[in-house]
Amino acid sequence: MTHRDADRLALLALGEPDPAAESHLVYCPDCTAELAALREVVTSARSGPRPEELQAPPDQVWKRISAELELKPGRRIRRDFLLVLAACLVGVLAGVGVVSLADRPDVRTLSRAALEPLPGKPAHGAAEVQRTGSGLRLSVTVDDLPRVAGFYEVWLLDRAAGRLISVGGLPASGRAAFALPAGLDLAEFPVVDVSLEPYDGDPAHSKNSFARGTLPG
Amino acid sequence: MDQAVEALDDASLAEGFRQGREDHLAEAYRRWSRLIHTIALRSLGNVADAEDVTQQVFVSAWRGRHTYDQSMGPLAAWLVGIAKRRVADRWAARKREERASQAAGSDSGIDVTEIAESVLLAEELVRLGEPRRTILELAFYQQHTHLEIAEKLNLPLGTVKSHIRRGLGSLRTRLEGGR
Repeated sequence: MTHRDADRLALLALGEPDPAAESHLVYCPDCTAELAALREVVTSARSGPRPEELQAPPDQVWKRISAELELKPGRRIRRDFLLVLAACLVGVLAGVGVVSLADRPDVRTLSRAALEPLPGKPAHGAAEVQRTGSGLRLSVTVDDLPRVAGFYEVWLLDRAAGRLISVGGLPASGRAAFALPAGLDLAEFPVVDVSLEPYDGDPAHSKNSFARGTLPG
Repeated sequence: MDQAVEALDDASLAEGFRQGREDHLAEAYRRWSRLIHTIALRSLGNVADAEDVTQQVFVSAWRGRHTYDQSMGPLAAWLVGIAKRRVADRWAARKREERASQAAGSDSGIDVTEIAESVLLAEELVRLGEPRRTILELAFYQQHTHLEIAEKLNLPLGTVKSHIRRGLGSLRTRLEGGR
């Protein structure tokens, strides 16, 4: 079978009319069988969920599995790993604009930036701005944060890195999603910064940044 | 080390799983729990049952990992097979509960194999690169013709047809590989 013929069978399987191809089928059992197999794929796909309708189980299922199997602690599940991996391999993704990699039904990714380590720091990761049913949120994933005294904090800085807004604390897992306040202009504060803060009760930035990236747009 | 596991191809992951490496179990869960959970959810119709089945599948798979080998097919297909049995068990348990409470439960006679295959296809679509994924989604779900797709995506007709042919072919191979 030539590629042209195979192309036409694929289109027939999708339901596109092609009277000439259909009359050929009457005399060709091979093509008829091939078409039947391809039609099964199409029917199955159309009767199943769309990719965005796929539903992952909640985190507690893994916790129950981990408990039942008595796995060593610290065996964590990483969602969004594709973002971390892509960010590490490709570098800053500035200028990508609207990208829809989100595959959960109610979350749409608007923009994404790699978080590069500051000199001498091991941490790296990615930040995503997502639109959810209840507004915008900043989803941050950072790996290799050293476990030291203090806590990690996420900030949004202006381009001159002069003004800053504290977004929230980052747990030891390095993963968190922060609901962004409605009036916040991300174009004005596009730089995502992760810093290590001491427990000294001083809300100011410690000046000890570990990773940083700039959101596009 | 975690990143290395995530970058493994399916066959290498399956081998490490079979050998009992816990990080490979965690990665198999990360990779395929959505597939298993969605199959269970679409078969059983409720989230609590789906979560239970998902847990049972990965627990049984891990405890029985020495019974799996690559000649049986991909690890994902093996997990789906376990899921089908757990769904059938849950379904049978439900029927017994219905009979016990004398409720006139409807016997919809669901076909878990069909459900599993349709969910597997959606998962495969997620793994396709672009523009193939978008082309196939437009053809499957929006019923666009290849001409409409070419116009919408501003691609040559030949390119669209080629992606449709290759994409359908690779999806079919995946389905048949799991049977």
